This record gives sequence, structure tokens and C-alpha cells, in this order.
Amino acid sequence: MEDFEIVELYWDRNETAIAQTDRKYGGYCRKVAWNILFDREDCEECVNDTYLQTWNSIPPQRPERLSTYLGKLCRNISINLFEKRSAAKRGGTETDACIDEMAEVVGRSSDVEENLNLSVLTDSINKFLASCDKETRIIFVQRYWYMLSVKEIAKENRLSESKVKMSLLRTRDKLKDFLTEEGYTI
Amino acid sequence: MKPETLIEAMTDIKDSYIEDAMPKGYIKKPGFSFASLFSQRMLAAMAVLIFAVFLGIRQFRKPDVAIVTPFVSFETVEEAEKAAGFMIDTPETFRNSTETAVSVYNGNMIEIKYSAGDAGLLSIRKAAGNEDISGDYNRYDNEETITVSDITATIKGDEGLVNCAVWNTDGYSYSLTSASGITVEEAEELITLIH
Repeated sequence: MEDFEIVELYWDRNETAIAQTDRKYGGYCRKVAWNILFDREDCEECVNDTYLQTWNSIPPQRPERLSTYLGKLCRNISINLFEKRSAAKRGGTETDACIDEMAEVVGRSSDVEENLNLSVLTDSINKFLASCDKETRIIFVQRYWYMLSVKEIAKENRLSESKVKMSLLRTRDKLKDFLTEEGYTI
Repeated sequence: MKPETLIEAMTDIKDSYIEDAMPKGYIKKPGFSFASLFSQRMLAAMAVLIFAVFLGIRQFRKPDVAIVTPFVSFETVEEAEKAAGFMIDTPETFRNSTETAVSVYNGNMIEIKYSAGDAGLLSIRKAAGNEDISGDYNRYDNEETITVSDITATIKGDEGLVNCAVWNTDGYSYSLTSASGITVEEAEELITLIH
């Protein structure tokens, strides 16, 4: 079923919308959630919450790309659940490693957190990614959006792991400079 | 800023960047399948027939067992209350709403939606427990705690409006969500009216 047909099911409040969504994108959502949570039960919970939030948001939304719409919802829900876990249970996952790597970019301070506008930060990140070449951008997004391991990224792009690590390191350094120029306190 | 904030801000980057980077095999590509031999409608009809036979067999064996689907719509709030096992008090109308939709999710949460034409205005939920049942995991610019008639609620939203409010009292969780946003005054009034 095409995306627009599935979206029409939501608009018609047809309950098969969720079954069709799961059929087409269930695996995708589970993989996005798994890469963040590494827990089957938590993944299923997040995927179910994703479907619920999709049901609640369409209408009035009418996404053109259902895959990325679902992916963003699922990622957001999974990250929220990841953050709710106690610190004792965390550590050793790719998400933890990604957070540690991003700490190299922005540090770990929180004194300006209250005034930070997340959507403006997203715009800055988009601007930065637009300045990168496609291969660099894909590697960066696969690491920090999809939370793939360096090994998985290397395999996906037929590159050596050392090349992937170097690309990520250089991109993080450039992102740090970029955010500083944009006026962020780092 | 915290590194987690940067990770969170990555969520809403451009769709094309996410698609370009999508790993292989994340979404199954359509190919030969049983479904390709039959039309979607024939498959749906067969599924309904099989499900009806299944229901008939189950009811013959265990007539007192109810089949619960995740979302079940009801004509009236009273019917939803019987299905969920608790009562809910909500306003009859909201703003210029012309219709309400009542449903029960998973047999244990009542949801009432107010809409005017295609425009969804407001969604109200109630369930036993003390968890956040809003289903709204968006990050908003504003989030604060308010107290209304001895009820402590968390309200969240952008541009001075309330897109989501959650609270719990007397063993039940409540939420109200509005994609377009309602005023703080409307949210406060609704919190006192919903039981």
C-alpha cells in the first residue's frame, strides 16, 4: 500500500491504518527503537506508542513521507525512554557511545538549557549538514540519527572502520566550530 | 548544552537526510508475495471472513470471552464507560466542535475527541494509574506545573498555548492534547471539569 493510501486510512479513522502501518514500517520502527534501547520489551512499547501517537496526530497532519514521519516519532519516543532509565542501567550501548561522542562537541554543561530552543538548534544542524558532502552526511546521520555502530556504518558504505571513525571525528570537530560560530555556548 | 540535547535535536533534521542514510533492509521492498496474487480487497475480505469464523468458534466455545481490539469506537460515552469499567465527566462541546468521537483503547483507556469538520480540536483521555497517557512525546518550548482547584498539572506547548496537559488524581491519569493549541485559561477550566 502506498503511503498516501495509508494516510487516507488515518484520515478516515479506519482502524486498519495501524495494521497497514505495522505491515509496511513495523520492522523499520523496531530497528530504529532497537538501536537506541537494545531491549525487546522497551522496543515494542515504543513502537506501540509510535502507532498511538501517529493515530492521534493524523489528522490534522498529512505527512508526505510516512517512513521519516514514523521514524522521527519512534526515535523521539525511544530517546525519551532511554533517558528515563536509571543511570545504573545505562552504559555500553551505542546510544551511550553517541552521547559521549557528542559531549566532545558540546561539553556537558546544562546552565543554558532553559533558554535553548530545540527547533532552532535543529535548523542549525540542518544548515551544517547541508554544507557536508553526501558521504560525510550519510555517515554522520547513520551514526547519530540511526545510532549504528562504526562497524555497521563501514559495512553499509563499503568503507573501512578507520575511515568511518576519521570521518566522524572530523565532522564532529567541524560541527563544534560551526555551532560556536552560530553563537551557541559550548 | 548537554550532549543529549544535541542528539534529541537531530530527530527533526530534513527528511531527505534521513532517507539518504537509511540502512539497507530497514524497509521491506515490495516483491513477490502471496498478496501480489490477490487484490488487497480480496485479502481484506478473506481476513474478515476468517476473523468472523474465528469469532464464531470462540464464542461457541467461550461465549463469555470478549475480543478486544486496540481501538474500539462507541456511539456514547456511557457505552465507553461500561467497556472501560470507569466513568468519565467531560464537557459536551468544546469551542465550535460539531462532533465528538468516543473510543476505548486496549479496554482500559477512554478517549474523547472533539472536532469541527476535518479540524481536530481537542482530545481528552482518562485511564487508571498515574502514568502519562497523553501519547504526546513532542518537545515543546514551554513546560510548567500549575495548580488548579487542588489539582497539580503539567502543561506544555509552544507560542504561549497549551498543546498537552497531564495530571493524575484519585487513582486516575488524565490528559488533554490539542495539535493547534488551546489557551492556558481553557486548559485550566478543562482540568477542573474533567473527572
